[in-house]
Amino acid sequence: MSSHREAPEISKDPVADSTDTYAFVSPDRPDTVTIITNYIPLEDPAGGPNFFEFGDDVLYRINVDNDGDGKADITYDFNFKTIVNNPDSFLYNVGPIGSLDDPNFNRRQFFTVTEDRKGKKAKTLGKNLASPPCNIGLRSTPGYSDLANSAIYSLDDGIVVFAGQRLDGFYVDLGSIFDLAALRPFQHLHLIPTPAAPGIDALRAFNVHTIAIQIPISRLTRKGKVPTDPLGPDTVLGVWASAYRQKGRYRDENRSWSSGPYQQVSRLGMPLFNEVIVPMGRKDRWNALPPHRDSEFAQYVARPELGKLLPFLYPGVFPNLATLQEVDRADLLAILLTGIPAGPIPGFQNYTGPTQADMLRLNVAIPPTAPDAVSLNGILGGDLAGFPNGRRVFDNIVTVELQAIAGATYPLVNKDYVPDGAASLINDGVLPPGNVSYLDVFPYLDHPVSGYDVQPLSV
Amino acid sequence: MGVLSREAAAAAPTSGVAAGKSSAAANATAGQAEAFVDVTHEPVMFCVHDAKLGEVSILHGTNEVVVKDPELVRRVLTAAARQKF
Repeated sequence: MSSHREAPEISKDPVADSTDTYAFVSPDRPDTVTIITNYIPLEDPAGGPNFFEFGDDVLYRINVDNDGDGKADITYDFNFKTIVNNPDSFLYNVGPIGSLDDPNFNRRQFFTVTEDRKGKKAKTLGKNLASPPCNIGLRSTPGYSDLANSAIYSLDDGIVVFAGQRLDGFYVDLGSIFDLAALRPFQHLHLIPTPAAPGIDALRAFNVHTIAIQIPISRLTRKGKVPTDPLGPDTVLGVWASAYRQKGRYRDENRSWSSGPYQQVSRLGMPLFNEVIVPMGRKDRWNALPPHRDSEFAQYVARPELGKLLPFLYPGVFPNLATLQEVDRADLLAILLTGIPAGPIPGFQNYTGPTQADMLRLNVAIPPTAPDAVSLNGILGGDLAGFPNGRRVFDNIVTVELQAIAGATYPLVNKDYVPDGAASLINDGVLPPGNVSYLDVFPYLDHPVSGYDVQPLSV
Repeated sequence: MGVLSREAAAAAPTSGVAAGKSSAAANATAGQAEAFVDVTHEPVMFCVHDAKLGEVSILHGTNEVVVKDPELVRRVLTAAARQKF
C-alpha cells in the first residue's frame, strides 16, 4: 500500500502509522495549498465499541521545506485529547449523535494545531477543536455529512483545518500485488500464470483518520509570495508528514504514562517509498530519520528491487528493463529524491536542489487542472498539476510508480533507451470511480463509510 | 558486572521524592547546583543504554538529560541485579 503497515515496527502502532500524505494546490481555492495526512490503516468501519481515534500520546506533524535542504522550515503540530462523558458506560454513544457537543457522544476527541516557523515563536492556530465521531450507522450518526462538516474550522489568516475519519482515498489491488507482484489484468503473463481478470480494490471498504490543513501559498513560500512562473525560483515546496512518541513509556496496574522528548516513529512523503523501495531490514530506521538523511537510502532508489523482479516474474515481457539491472536509475533518483529539474518535461520542474530527501515536491506556480482535463496518471498523463508534482487525492499512484519503475520514465535521462511496450501499460486494474469517491471541496477525501453500511468484501 | 539489556534497564520510573533525589544526585555529580525536579505530578524515568559508558539517560516531561555518572550506573545495576521477577 502507499504506506499502510509499511514497516515492521510501525505496523504494530496503527495510530501513529501514516498511510498517505497529499499536497496540492487547492482546486477551489487556488491561492492555497491543501496538505492531508492519514493515519490508522485499514479501519474496519464496524470496529466498535471502541471506534477509531487519534492517539492522545502521539504528536502528529506536517512539515514544509521551502528552501530545498530537506529540513522543515514550517511545521504544523496536531495534539489530541480525548474526553469521556460517562466512563460508566461501555458505549461510544448512548443515543443518536446530532452535533459535536451532543451529550449522547460519549467519547469525544479535541485537538490543538500549532504553527512553528523556523526562527519564530510557535503560534497556536486553534485549540479545543472537536473531531467528528466515527461514522457508525444511521441510528447513531444520522446526517453524518453535516455532522462531519461542522468539524471543518476556518482559522485566522485563511487557514482551514479538519481532523477526523474519512474514506480511504487510496486504491490498490493489494491482494494481487502482494501475491508475488501479480497484476490481475496481466497475470496471464506472470511466471505463475492465471487467466487475466479485473483488479480488486482492497481498500474500498476501509476508512482512515485524516488530518487536513489548507494554507495560503504566501504563508508557505520562502519569500512569502505566490509564484506564477513554474520555472522560476522559490516555486517548489517539500512536504512530508511525521509522527512522534515520547521516548519513555511506563505501565503498571494503575498508571500509564510517557516521558521524555518526542522521537519520530513514522514519516511519509512520496507514496510507496518506504514500502517498496527500502528493504525490510532498514524500514524502521527510515521511519526514525528525517528526510535530509535519505542519501543513505539512495542506493535502493537507484536500483530498486522491484525493477529487478519484474523481468523475472513476467518472463519475456520486460527485456529492455532487464538491461537496466546494473544501471543507476537517474530518473527515479530525480523523481523520488531531488525533484525533476527543468528541461526534460517542458514547462515543468519540481527540483529542490542536490539534497536527497524523500518529500512530496509541489510546484505551487502550476495551477490546478480543470476537472475535465485531469489525468489520474498525473505528469505521465500530461497533467502537470498531478503526481509527482505533489499528490492529489485521486492520483493513480500505483500505476504511475509501477510504470516508472518498469522503465517508462528512464528516457527522461537517456533518450536512447526504448521502454518495453508493457512499461506504459501495466497497472493493477483498479481505477476510481468504483467504491472510492472524493469531495470537490475541503477536505477532499470523502465521508467515511459507516459500520452499518459496510458490505463484506466479495469478488 | 554485566551490561544491562536495554529492555531490562528501560526506565522503571521511581516515585515521589526518590526520583527527584536520583536526578539531583546526578546533577550534584556533574558539579551543578543541587536542584530537585518536582515529581508530584510527573515521574522521572531513567535508562542505562550501555553500562560501559557510565551514562544514565533521564527523561522528565519532554526533556532528556544524559548524565555521565559511572557510580550511579553501578548502583542502578546492583539494584537491578537484586530484582526478582
